[in-house]
Amino acid sequence: MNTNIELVARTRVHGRALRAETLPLILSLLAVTTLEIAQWEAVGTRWQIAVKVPIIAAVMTWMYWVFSRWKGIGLVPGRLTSVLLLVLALLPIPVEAVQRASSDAGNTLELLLLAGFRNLVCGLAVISYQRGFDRMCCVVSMFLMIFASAITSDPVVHLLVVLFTVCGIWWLMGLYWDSLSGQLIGATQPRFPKYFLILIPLLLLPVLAILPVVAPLAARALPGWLPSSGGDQWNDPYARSGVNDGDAMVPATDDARSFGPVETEIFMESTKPSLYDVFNEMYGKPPKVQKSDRAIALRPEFLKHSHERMAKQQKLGKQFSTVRRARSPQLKAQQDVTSSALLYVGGRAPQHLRLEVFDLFDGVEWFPEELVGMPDYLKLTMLGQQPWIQVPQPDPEDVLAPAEPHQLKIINLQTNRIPSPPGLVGVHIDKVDRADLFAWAQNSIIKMDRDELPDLTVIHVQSRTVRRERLRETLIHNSSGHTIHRQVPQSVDEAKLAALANSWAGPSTNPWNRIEAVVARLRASCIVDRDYRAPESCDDTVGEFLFESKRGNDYMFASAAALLLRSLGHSTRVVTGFYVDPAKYEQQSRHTPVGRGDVHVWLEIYTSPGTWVTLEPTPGYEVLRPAPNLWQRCLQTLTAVVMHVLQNSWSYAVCSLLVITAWRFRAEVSDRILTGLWHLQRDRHSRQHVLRTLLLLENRCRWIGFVRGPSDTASKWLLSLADTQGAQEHDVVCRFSRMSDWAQYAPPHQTAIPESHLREICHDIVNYFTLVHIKDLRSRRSTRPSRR
Amino acid sequence: MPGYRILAGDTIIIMPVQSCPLSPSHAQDLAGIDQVRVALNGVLRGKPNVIENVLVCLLAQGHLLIEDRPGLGKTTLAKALADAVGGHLARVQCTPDLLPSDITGFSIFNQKAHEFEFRPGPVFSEVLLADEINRSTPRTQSALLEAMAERQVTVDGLRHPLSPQFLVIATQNPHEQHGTYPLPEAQLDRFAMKLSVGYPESDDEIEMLAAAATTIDDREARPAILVPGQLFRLQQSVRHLSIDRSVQDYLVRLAQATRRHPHISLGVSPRGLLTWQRAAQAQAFLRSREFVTPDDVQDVALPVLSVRLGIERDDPESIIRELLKTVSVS
Repeated sequence: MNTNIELVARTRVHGRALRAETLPLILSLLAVTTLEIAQWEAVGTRWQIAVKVPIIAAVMTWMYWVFSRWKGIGLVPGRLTSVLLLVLALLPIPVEAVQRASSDAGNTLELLLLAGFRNLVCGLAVISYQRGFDRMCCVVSMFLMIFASAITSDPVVHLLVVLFTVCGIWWLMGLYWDSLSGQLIGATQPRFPKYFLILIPLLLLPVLAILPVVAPLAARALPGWLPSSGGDQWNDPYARSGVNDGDAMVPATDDARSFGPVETEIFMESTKPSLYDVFNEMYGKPPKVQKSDRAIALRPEFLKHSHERMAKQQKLGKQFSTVRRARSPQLKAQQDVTSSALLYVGGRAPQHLRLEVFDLFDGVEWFPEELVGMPDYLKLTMLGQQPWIQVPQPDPEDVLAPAEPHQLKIINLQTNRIPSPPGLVGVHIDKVDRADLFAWAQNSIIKMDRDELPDLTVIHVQSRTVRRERLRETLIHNSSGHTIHRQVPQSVDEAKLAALANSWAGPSTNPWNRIEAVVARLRASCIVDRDYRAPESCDDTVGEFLFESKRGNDYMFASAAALLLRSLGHSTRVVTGFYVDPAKYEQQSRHTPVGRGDVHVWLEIYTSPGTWVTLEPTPGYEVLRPAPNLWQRCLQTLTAVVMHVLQNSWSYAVCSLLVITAWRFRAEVSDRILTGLWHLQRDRHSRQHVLRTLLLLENRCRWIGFVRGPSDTASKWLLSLADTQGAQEHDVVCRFSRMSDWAQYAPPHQTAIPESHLREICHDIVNYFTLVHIKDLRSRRSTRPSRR
Repeated sequence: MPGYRILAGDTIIIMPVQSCPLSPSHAQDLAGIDQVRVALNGVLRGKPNVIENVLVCLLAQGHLLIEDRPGLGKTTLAKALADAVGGHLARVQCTPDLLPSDITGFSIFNQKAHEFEFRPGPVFSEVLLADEINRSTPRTQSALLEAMAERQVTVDGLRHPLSPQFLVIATQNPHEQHGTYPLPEAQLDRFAMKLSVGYPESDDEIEMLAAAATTIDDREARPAILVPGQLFRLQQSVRHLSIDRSVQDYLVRLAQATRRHPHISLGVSPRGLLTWQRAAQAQAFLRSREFVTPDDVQDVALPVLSVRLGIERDDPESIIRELLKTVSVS
């Protein structure tokens, strides 16, 4: 007997430990995290996940805590919960529709479905304290986990899958144990086998071992079963599974269908002057090459033979690192997709891409800077098995930010110069591992030793932006060593120019502050007029621009700024190139197209040996700043919000006042509305009238704080509410409570009392239990018996 | 006293009669029940709630287990009830040497007729009072299983039907452990309710003493209050009371809650659920209502559940009240 008692006690302890109510919440959090990571490849960044996931976890945990407390006071999910969960699950569909209508951005069908599942999981997780919902939460979480892990190859997901499996097994064991503990009573009491704790990791080891093999196989096998966009049936612009599925441009690994600006392991024969050359031993007529140029030799196995015409993809779609599916041979031929862009730029915008530098100005014309003092050939370094042309970037004053990558996808750019961002430190083109294919075009501008850059080439560049706030603390070197950079043409009235520059520079003695002040005044004083041209007879276009017309094109702003700063003694030069406009950023392709309209002129100022800092004197153009860290981003967001509120302070004040007033008098206003509706609505059936009256009373009491508990029937609750001192009131309450019982539970054929009498009682109770009366009742009762 | 009664806490609120939807036969039957109530209240003073539950059990055609200390009126109440409802009362004083045949009856060989003839036991009565039931052995206790559940006994392979009004009122003293045999779950599940009488209030005890000082101890049986067949008619009326689907749903959710509760090792069985519903119908009947509300379910929950739930803690009442509070009515 004693042994039995001991076993029972031990079993209970284990059972309680296994019935961990928070496991469904943990499982759902793991599934949601996995989905967020899977989505990262499509729509997010690492830091976004790092911020988003903890916020989601915190909100879900908090809501779970709040809802589980409600359980403690007797509130349990009702029928409305199912409706709310359904709404949550379907919410991504209208949101997606709005998103697609308002912008180019969109999600794929599978991500849309998964977002619905995610919402459902979140909703179920916060009410998983309730029996039934916890099981549903775990099942839906498992579905979400399977689907989410199937669409990504991120290694972090493997870890999450393992964690999910461990928690899932633990939960299942708890569930099983729970069911056992309810059935086995008395004599035979099973003991929880502790060796299972050791066995679980052993069982998981084979799973871990085969996971890297199975996961890719599953990714290939499951698309037929998982909900997926596109496929072989139709073309979805937001699909992510390769050619013919959508507009996504995927590097070919097996069956290339078109030429495009992607880095791939497959090369096809082309008549264009390609950057790559492969020795072909096949019989047959070789393709007729229109023009030859220098190229990189590749091994023959890179060449893929195709007798079909290859299409050309000049427009970028979304890019994914997914494994491309094996294609059936009956695919329809690809059509050419043309683009008016000269190149696409991947990376942060705004960005200036330099093509040519000018240093000599004669008052009317600028002349290109000559290449002096640069080595003949550039140095090539292998970084992580990738050949990089490294450009030395001295930074004695430590004003440069860490290197930042950009991708240039050349479409129709007919030049051999590589558009280079300021502070260029490296250039990389896939498989181009010969330094002699590159050369200096000008100081800090690299060109390829070819006639022009080959189309559809992807060029990776690394550059370092300038931390401008550091320039205020450092010594600005005026002289670059070349007098030409400080030269003001004779046709320009230098004294007048210097006077203007000094007046714009202000009283500050800090050189960088003075430089920024001049540029800022120029941006404020003159306006951009693309059609304005200085008179042909004018030999001092800058003077005409600054002192007379005060309007002109971007090259006039650049010229004026360059001369103004030269008059202050600084070394400047004018640069032409492309401006990567952030307003043109394409959400869908995650690239910014650069066209002919983006040709732009700006200037650079010499600050220290080897460092030329970009200045943007033209209004409407901005310079790329160093990437802000998380704290700076938060601060910027906060500042933007505060500024927005301050700018619309009156609107916000009025809205706040309205909201506060509405909140303060919410009970009175709502009661007036509901009572008015109660009077207006004529119910056909007596029961409906009684139930509506009961609902009105419940609402009134809820606003005051007398909430009917879930285990209280209406009649008992009404009787507990009634003021026992007032006999008439008590009588009315008793009659109405009886009617409410009848309306809710009596069979349909059973009638209560005459219709007129019934409506009279309803009228009486509505008149007795006014908001004021209920408030009075509450204040009179020190304890609130029906408040749950 | 016809009317509409609502139990609010420990007080019974009598509603106005004029608006009560009662049929004439219903009102007449209720008058008989009111007389029984008055008679029982006269015997057991100051315990109206116990009397109400006894009436519920009677109308629900259930068997009653009264558990309390000695001398609190358990047997008196049982005898008074048997007298009130009429019919034959049989009493069995349960002891360890009591045999099953002492309850069910036995067959004896008739020398004259040269055949076995059946001598019916005490179960062949309208009311069987099994005093100190936990003093009989499990074998003897089991003799009551068939009688209580199916209202019949089988002796020597022959089935003998019992009275349709057959009612078992069993008493037991929970505080004496020596020489007792706890009732098995199967036996407990056949009782509709378990009641505790408890000590009376001081005023009631004074009144009791005053009445006893002047009254001659009358050991004669009191005349029956209910006419023959009236109890059966009342029980049939209870069966015809309407119960809404939502109330049945509430009952089922409560039953499921008892099966999932961590401190309850044995939840309500389907038989227990049927008994609970019938008790709720009887409660509604006593409140002069022709339909059942969740209040009826809640009000009979404690006596119905306390007899059949396997509760691991010493305070079953608090667990049952917790169950009632956590399960939503709608």
